[in-house]
Amino acid sequence: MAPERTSGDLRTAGIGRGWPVPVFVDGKEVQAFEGETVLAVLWASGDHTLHTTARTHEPRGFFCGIGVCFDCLVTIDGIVNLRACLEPVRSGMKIKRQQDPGYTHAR
Amino acid sequence: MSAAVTAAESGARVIVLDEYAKPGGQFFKRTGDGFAVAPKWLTREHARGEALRGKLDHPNITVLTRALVWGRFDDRVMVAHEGHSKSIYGKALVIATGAYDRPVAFPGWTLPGVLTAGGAQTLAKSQWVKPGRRMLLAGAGPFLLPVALSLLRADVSIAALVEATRPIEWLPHLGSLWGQWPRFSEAWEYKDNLRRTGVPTLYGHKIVRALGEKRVEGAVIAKVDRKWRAIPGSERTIEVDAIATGYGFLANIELAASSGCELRFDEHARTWFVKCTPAMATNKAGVFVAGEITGIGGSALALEEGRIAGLSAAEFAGTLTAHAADEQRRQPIWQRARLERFANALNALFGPRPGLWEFLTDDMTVCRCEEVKAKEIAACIANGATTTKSIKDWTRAGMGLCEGRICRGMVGEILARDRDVALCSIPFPSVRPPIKPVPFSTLLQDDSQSESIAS
Ligand SMILES: Cc1cc2nc3c(=O)[nH]c(=O)nc-3n(C[C@H](O)[C@H](O)[C@H](O)COP(=O)(O)OP(=O)(O)OC[C@H]3O[C@@H](n4cnc5c(N)ncnc54)[C@H](O)[C@@H]3O)c2cc1C
Ligand code: FES
Repeated sequence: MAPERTSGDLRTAGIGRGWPVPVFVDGKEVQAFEGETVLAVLWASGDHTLHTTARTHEPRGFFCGIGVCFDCLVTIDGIVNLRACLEPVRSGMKIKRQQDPGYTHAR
Repeated sequence: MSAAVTAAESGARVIVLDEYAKPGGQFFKRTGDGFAVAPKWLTREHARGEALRGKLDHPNITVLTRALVWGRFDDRVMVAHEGHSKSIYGKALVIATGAYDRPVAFPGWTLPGVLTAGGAQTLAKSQWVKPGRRMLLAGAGPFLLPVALSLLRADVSIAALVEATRPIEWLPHLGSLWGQWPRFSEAWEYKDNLRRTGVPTLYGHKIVRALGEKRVEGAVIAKVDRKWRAIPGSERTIEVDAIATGYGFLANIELAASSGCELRFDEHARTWFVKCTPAMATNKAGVFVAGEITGIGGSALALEEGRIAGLSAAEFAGTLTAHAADEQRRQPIWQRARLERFANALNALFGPRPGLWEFLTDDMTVCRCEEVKAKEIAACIANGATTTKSIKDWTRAGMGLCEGRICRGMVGEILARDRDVALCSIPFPSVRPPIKPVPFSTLLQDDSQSESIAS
């Protein structure tokens, strides 16, 4: 078990977390912890825009948190439109915040 | 879980299929592997969840997680699991797909930081990440209390809990709530916790706007009348960085609906559920249901329903005699009736009222996926659209990846309002598999297997 962690991010202090796992968010290495979801890692960082929408380019965060709304879409290891709230982190995972979600339909 | 354990203990072989990484659903949600949370931070339901999860470790039970059931064809269910598609055969099927928070649109509701109460609770409770440092909780009904408690435990400061009803409105309902002491003591314990941490509760108020450009920077709340319409001039701004709303739930009935199960409309909850008999059987032979998809009632009711459905499924699969099943169903059926009376009273009291939909006009985004605005939907209705299906075809509302789960209820409310018809007269749109998006690459990777019960 990794030592308890207290830091300035949005992770609750005083909670023991799993082993540190490095992941890459938009190319930058970020430390995540085993057992976390991709959403937890992105949200804890404080940058709450997970993707921007296709039509009006609005920033979006997460909404339902339980896999229903598809508003937490990110690209992971090249696969578009995955739900950050359901994906557990894996060491070395490459996460991308989506500009224009991965929709391919023309409007 | 409750259905699976009961059926397995009655001799049936059971496969549990769950889309999440861990079985247990919403109430018994676990923290991820690797977390070490001191016991003082854990709630009572944690221990009960672990106990029930422990019983899944039964020789008759196989658990498959991250397994999305995307459809049912005759006696098989179709499953997407780790990039592969399987069809699993079962003599009987128990569907217990749960519910999600009812989405409610208000100005600013698409800003990052506006969340559903359940989503905020999930992030705090199973990931120990704060949805915001200082939050506003707005909604109606007792479910806001456990959410507030989970947030406080995760060290979120709660600026206020905003409840749309007023205690004086509860009085006429006390009769039907009478005798439900365990529920009251639970609520009291939650309340007491809030009081001790100094979280103010504002009754007869609702959220009317989220402020901010790129993320939530504040919330505007207002007093409401009995119909939950905001009273002009009563607005007040609160500085927060996240807002969570909880105005009841909608059920995940898509799998049951696409399997041909009959639905029923609930006047109080203003939404659709799966119709079932006291033995939790649907109109489809061999398909049973349990939990929130039969009506919103909370975890205690869902557990009883799971027990009944597990017995009925084992009976259908032939591992339990009709006589034994009848005997064993009697007690949980009685419990269920009692809990259901209580749930109905709560739904009558806290169910949505017309003012909740007063922002569904003009430029309000209704469909989040396809960014369709209320005025586009209204124009479509003015042009003669009478169903959610025709609105979807014309405006794309409901055509995005969530497949209408977020906007469908609100589109229905706009239709009912503009056409001046009862909401129940607008049919639930027909659902076809796959009920959630499944990549083609997954559908093409087929490795099927057989089992006796899928649940
Ligand atoms: C976020 C949230 C928090 C809640 N917190 C509380 C609380 O604190 N107290 C309380 O009394 N009630 C709470 N509720 C209400 C709660 O729904 C019930 O109390 C209880 O969890 C209902 O059990 P269930 O079996 O009906 O559904 P759930 O517990 O929601 O379980 C449904 C399960 O079905 C799975 N599933 C759904 N669709 C599919 C599919 N197509 N394929 C495979 N698997 C699928 C899901 O992964 C999930 O595990 C909460 C609800 C939500 C949405
Ligand atoms: S937040 Fe809704 S699907 Fe992930």
